[in-house]
Amino acid sequence: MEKMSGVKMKNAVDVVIDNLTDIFLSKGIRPPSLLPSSPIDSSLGLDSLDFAELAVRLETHYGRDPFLEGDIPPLNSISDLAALYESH
Amino acid sequence: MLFDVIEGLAQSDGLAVATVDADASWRRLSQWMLAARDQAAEFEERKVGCVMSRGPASVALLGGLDAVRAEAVLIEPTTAARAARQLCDQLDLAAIVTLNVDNDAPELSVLARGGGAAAKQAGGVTILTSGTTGQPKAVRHNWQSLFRPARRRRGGDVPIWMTPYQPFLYAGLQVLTQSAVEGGGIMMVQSSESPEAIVGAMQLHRVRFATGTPSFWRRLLLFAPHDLLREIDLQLISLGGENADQHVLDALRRHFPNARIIHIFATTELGRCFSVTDGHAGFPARFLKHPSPDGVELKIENGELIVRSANRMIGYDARVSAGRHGLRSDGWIATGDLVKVTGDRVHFIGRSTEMINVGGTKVSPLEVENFLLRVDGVASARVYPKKSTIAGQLVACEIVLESGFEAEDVRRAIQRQCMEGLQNHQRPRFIDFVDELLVSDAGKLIRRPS
Repeated sequence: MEKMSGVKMKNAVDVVIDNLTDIFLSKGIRPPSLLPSSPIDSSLGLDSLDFAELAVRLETHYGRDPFLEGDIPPLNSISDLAALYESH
Repeated sequence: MLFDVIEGLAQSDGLAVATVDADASWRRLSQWMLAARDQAAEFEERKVGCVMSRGPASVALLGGLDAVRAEAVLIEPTTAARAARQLCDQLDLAAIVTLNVDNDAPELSVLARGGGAAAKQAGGVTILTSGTTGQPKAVRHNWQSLFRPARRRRGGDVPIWMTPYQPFLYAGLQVLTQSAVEGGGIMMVQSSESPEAIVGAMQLHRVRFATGTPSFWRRLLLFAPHDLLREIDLQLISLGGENADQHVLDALRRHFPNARIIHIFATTELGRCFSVTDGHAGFPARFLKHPSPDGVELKIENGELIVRSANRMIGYDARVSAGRHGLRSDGWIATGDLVKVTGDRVHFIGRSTEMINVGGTKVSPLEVENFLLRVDGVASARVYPKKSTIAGQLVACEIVLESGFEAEDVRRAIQRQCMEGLQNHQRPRFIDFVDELLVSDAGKLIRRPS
């Protein structure tokens, strides 16, 4: 497929952080500062349905769902999650 | 029975059936019916498919088939020729016929032929419906069961009813039998027609009585020019086919302060069960205590409304066996409608088949819709499941804005109020703003996943 020219593709870490920020805002919570190394577990202040929402948002953005594609490596940080979408 | 009722109106020049582009008096309709009867002689006591387009011709055809004691199977007019042949085989019909009344010269034409069983029951009427579950069902009534709930009111004008109900479904037949016993007329509109055209036709025929699903009325109130709406002096509005929420009941009350607003609970299988006239959503819990004068008993089992009704069908057509579940040997039928009793009121919380499964917890789309409708700026709402690999399903919604509101303001209001007033799994996580909600041909909101 032809690459979009002139438009810099947002990297997956930024896409994950943008969507997480939206999820915090939709819950009326001021988003914490989010870094590629930030953990993605309950310490972030999100619950399991929030992560389900994040996965659906990322699936919509990327048009594919890595959680359906087989073995998922351990996901400890935002960059681990982002890597799932960048690896294809 | 239909034949006799229409024959009784043969001297009336009052309107029988109108659409936006055709109408006929009872006198004209009964002449067409006699012609249909004569041309349908070969179908005497046979099972015949009857194409039910909106308009007077289909009613004349039904009457003609009743006169030759045929069993009518009602066919959707959009059925393609190949599907019609399949239906002939599947339901063992003698033929599928339609009545053309161009130039006032009624002509019965045969669209497809089949083997053709003898009518199981003279005067039988079979309704093909997939309901909201998508399972095809063939529900057998007869004109006795269809006329049973119709009542002749005392006094007042001969009513002209406006109805968007499809004439081949139970609700459409109910409007037909009701107007026939009163010698009134029916103005058949299509729910997809423009709100302006619908209101214009209501004015033209001086409609005072109107039916429709809550989704139909929401669309009309939202998009019809309000100055035109105000000129329509409705005496009675009868809602059916879907749960009537307080939002739509209140909106109708505001627009039509002189109208009696009733909501009816009926299903194809059970027929008409009960109506509620107090302007409040749900129904009084006392309905559960005693059978109604009309012979309808209600009870709740595991949160589901179960009904035994004297207006019920004769049975399912054995050839189409799907959808038989819920039918019990003692006459009680599970409706698939989940209800909750609060004080002396019973409220509908949704269809059992429409529950959204969020990580194993059931969410009622209807309950969430009712919550969303209380947010300022929300004119109508549709709640549906969104597939999630992690949670199974999540709650999503589409919102139609009230005029004068900004989408982003309403989005924030919805998010804030849902955080405060809904449980975590009930909260819509995907909010889209749309111009109109998706409504089925039968005028019901479609809540399937998307």
